[in-house]
Amino acid sequence: MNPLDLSHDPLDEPRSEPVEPRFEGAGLQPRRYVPGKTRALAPEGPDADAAQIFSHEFDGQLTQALRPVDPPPGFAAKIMELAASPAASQAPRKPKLLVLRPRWQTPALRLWATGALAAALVACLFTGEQLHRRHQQELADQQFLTAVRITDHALAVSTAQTRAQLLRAGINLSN
Amino acid sequence: MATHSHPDPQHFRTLVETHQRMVFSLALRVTGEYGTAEEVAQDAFLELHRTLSGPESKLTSADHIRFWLRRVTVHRATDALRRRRVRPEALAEEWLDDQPGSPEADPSPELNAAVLRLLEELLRSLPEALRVAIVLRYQEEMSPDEIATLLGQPVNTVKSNLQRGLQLLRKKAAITLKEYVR
Repeated sequence: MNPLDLSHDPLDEPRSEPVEPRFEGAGLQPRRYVPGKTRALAPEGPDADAAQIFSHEFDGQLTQALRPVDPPPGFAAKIMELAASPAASQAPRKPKLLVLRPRWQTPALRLWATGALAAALVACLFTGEQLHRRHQQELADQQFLTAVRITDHALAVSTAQTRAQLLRAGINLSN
Repeated sequence: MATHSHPDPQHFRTLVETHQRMVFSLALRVTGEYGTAEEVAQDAFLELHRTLSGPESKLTSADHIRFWLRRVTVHRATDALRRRRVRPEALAEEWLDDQPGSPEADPSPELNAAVLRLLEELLRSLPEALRVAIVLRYQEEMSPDEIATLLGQPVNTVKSNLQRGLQLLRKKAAITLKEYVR
């Protein structure tokens, strides 16, 4: 029987006397309590009496161990006496719970703390936005300067080539 | 303002006498302390008295009253246990240290009594949820469905708690007994 199969569980069966042992085949870890294994745990030889705890009687022993016990003598009389008193009809007053909060948790300070936190958040956002904008601007400036430099260089090369060609044709543009 | 009428004293006395063993035993097994159990049982019965005094008491049948008492007792006992903030494991260790005599010196019938006492005491070392489930199952002989209804838990949780509790109890019993007879 699969120990995890809850479709048939002897725990569901109504309990009645005499109590039959239900551990084996009850889906209650049968693998752990196979006889060979329990013998290994249980004492042997003259101490075999003690091994009864490991036997199938465990369930019954548990029921025996948990049989109801009598309350102290005069318990019922004491209850009747307390019930007869006028205070018995009133629900017991629950002790007032004193809540101790750290100083920073008082409402006024909490309001201030919330405001300060919100202001700090706004300041952070503003600063971040400014830094981002400045960074973008610097990037654009650098790109413009690079473009100007490239254009200058290209113009210089082109001018030199044109002059050289004109010179070869006998035209001298220089003053 | 609601008016309260006291229940019939004779009827209430009958209820107390009928259920006092069940309520006290339940409280004792869950709290593990005689004095606390007495307080819990007392509170449960006074609460019953107040409920029966109420203008719209819904506790009409005997079964309903038994169910109600079981539930209130378990809740009160677990509350008491939590208030004490005692680690059950520590309690069990203390008991094992203080256990008078040893099974080696006991004859067999007394050994059986010692085993039963050991089981009862080892129950105290179980975590609260497992202990409550086992007490309701083996002392009150309730089915997992009834326990689930009483505790307001899913049936599978109750079954799992029962299985884990029994497994733990057997394991502890095996180890303890092995040490005793060594």
